[in-house]
Amino acid sequence: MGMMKVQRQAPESISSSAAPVSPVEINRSCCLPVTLLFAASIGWLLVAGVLGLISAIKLHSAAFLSQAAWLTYGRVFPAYLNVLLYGFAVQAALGIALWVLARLSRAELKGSLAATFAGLFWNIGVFFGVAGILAGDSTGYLWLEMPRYATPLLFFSYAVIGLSAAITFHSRRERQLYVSQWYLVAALFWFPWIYSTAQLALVYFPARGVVQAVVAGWFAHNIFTVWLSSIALAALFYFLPKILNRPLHSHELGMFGFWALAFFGCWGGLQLGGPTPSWLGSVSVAAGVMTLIPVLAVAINWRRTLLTGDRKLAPNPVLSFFKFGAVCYVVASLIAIAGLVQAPVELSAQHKDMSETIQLTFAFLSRLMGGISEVAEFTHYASGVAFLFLYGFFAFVALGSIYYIVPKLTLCDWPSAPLLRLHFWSGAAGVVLLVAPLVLGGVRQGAALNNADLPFLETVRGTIPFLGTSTLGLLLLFVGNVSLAVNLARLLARCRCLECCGLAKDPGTGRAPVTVAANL
Amino acid sequence: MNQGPLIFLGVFLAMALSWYGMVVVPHAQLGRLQEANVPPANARYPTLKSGLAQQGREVYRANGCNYCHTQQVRAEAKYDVVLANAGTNKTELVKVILDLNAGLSAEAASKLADAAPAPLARGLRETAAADLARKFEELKKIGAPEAKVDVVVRYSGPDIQRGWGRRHSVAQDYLYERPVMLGNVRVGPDLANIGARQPDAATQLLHLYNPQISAKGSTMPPYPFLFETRQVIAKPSPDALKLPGEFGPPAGYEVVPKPEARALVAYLLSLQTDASLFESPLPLPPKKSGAEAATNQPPAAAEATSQSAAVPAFAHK
Ligand code: HEC
Repeated sequence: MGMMKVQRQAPESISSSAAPVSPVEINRSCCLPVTLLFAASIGWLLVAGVLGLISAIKLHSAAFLSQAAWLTYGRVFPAYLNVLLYGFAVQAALGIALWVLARLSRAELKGSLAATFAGLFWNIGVFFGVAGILAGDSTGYLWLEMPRYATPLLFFSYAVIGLSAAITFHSRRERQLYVSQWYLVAALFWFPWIYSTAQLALVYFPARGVVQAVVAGWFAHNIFTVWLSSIALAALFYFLPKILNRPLHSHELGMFGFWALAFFGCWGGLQLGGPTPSWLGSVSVAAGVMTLIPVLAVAINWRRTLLTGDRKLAPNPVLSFFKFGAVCYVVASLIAIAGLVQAPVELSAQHKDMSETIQLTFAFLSRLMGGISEVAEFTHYASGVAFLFLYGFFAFVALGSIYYIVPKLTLCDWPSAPLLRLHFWSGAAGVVLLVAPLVLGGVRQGAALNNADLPFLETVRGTIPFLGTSTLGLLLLFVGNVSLAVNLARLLARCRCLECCGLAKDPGTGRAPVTVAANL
Repeated sequence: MNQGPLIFLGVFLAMALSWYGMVVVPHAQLGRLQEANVPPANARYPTLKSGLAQQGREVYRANGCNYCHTQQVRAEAKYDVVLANAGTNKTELVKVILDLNAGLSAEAASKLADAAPAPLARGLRETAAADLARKFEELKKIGAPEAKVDVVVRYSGPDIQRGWGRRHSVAQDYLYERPVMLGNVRVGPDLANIGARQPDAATQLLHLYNPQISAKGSTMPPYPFLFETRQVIAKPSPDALKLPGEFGPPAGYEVVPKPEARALVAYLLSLQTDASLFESPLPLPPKKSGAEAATNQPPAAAEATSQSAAVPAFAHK
């Protein structure tokens, strides 16, 4: 049954030149590297949970763990962000990219062993990078804090994994391309470019003055808006139709969204009014508003896909992860844009040459957003947006993918369904409790900061209840992620994946992977 | 159809454009920024920090002060055109004023001419103010050559009102910063100008040792690891912190700053953006009296901003 579903569900028609490789073979070729990437990324997710809780508590109780240098807020917090981004997100994204790309190409993963080793080295790199941050060797640039002795390892590990994906894509047996592949190819290619640019211009040959801030802002914007988004969007475009067992609403709309993201998504990351050239700020804001186009394009496409056809679906917990992630993507994008758009007066005065339609659009949008941007800057608002993006959108899509893919790789079902449901509910509640206070508290904090009559310490006091609530959100997220880790540990302990990866002979336990076949 | 090359080329183009626009162009625009000559006496700005302050920047970076503090003052610059000197030919001057501002009654214009120094126009953008001044120069040539206007800048916005700086920060201020730590959250106050705001090293050290001493309820973490608590041998060290009772060490012990703490404070004291730059001039300091000073005197509003810029340090307490 599983096999049949795979055949029928491949979202594109079959027009292959060479005979496609069977899904079972493909899964086997992916088993080792992808399982490693997933397991390690979940390990780092737990580490991030601990570091995140520590830094969140410190933000409202300053004396907490303040004796040791390595535990000070200014080290634990960047360590947390880096574990979350490079340990969890990038790594999980790479696992998803390898598997989805191989499946859509109907070809075995090439260089599977090399990718496995590269995955190991990636983790060594993350370890040294994070240890370096805690030891005080941070570079000082947001999302790029890992010191120079760790980053080359990351870069070359990535290169090997990316190469393995590229060769797999090149040797595809299925010539017709699906939207997901577009996103994946673009993303795989973009990371080395932005990462090496950032490393060279910041660490190895530091640029002069504020150019550093420009490059760092550009990188941070791209790694989220383009790179992580692309991979998660690829996963959504692949899994939503597949789980629903129906075709994507519109292939053309999917491609339109892709190109819109490619052209508008990479411009951004700088603010108006700072010490960086003001035209960069305007370009960032304009491009940021334009990303509304690709976001709406994918949102419409998913909605139509979800709403057409057979409505009587058995409740599927894995599908809930994807749905929640999709909603968070749209909401996070809207809040991010709301924080960007400045009052039209200021814009028009600064840029007389800007065409009238754009100005009118700005005027309309900023009225819509109620001037949030005027108060959002320099507050917790931005962290709220970043966390909604990372935890709500990316993590939910990635975790859904992990729930879907791992049983196929290991030929083993998830041992506990209640744990899976616990993960979803405590994760979803966690995201809401984490993000809402940061966004709302950020608006309040911004209003307080802008009111110069209010003593500064009052602006600090006002945020404390909000920060406390968001700490609870992090706790719930942590509980959810622990339940995944327990589930995965039990699955790996009892599965016969060494065998299915072709590394061990059938030990002859006689236990056939029955449940798996039924679940595929 | 094989769309592989199409995607590749399209993606390459999109990304190359962004890379060129957001990395290469800014680099070309600012990468060769040089020290500027600033008044008075054509001093160079910025200058390299002292060795100790540079070490202090490393302490600041290593301990992530930038995750709570920004180093960028935001302010809106507004320009006033002030009639500095009415000259001798009042009737011509009144004509010029009326030419420039058709909405004014003859009576009001004449009052204005009498009141010099007095603002002709307030709250303009830089270009508009310069235009107005240029027009005045052209018109006055005919009949009132001694009359003179000045363009005076003033800044507004909460950062200025909070006393975080006297002008907005510009690229020039960060010429020698490495890394540049602009910061993006203001859990704590902006520090771009903390050296001017709180120039006392001892106060800074106490605050670092435990912010609760001077700011009860602060969420800034204490930095005890930048200090050494040691037994007093023979006589107390002159460097020992003068801690209030409840924060003090046990009897017979003293708290002295480690070299890192000294370096960090040297860095904090070096944070001053007090040079008047072409792209971000300082507002003129308020002058109290004197006929000569009056020619440069900014209008009342500028005086108000300059005074609020001199809010005493740690004013939020
Ligand atoms: C967790 C956030 C946080 C971190 C990290 C932090 N601060 Fe602060 N800082 C604050 C807050 C909140 C205040 C305002 C209350 C106070 O004065 O303690 C403040 C105030 C200050 C002030 C006084 C500013 C003024 O206007 O009077 C200085 C100076 C300062 N911090 C320096 C530092 C240095 C140096 C570091 C790094 C070693 C640092 N801070 C790290 C939150 C932080």
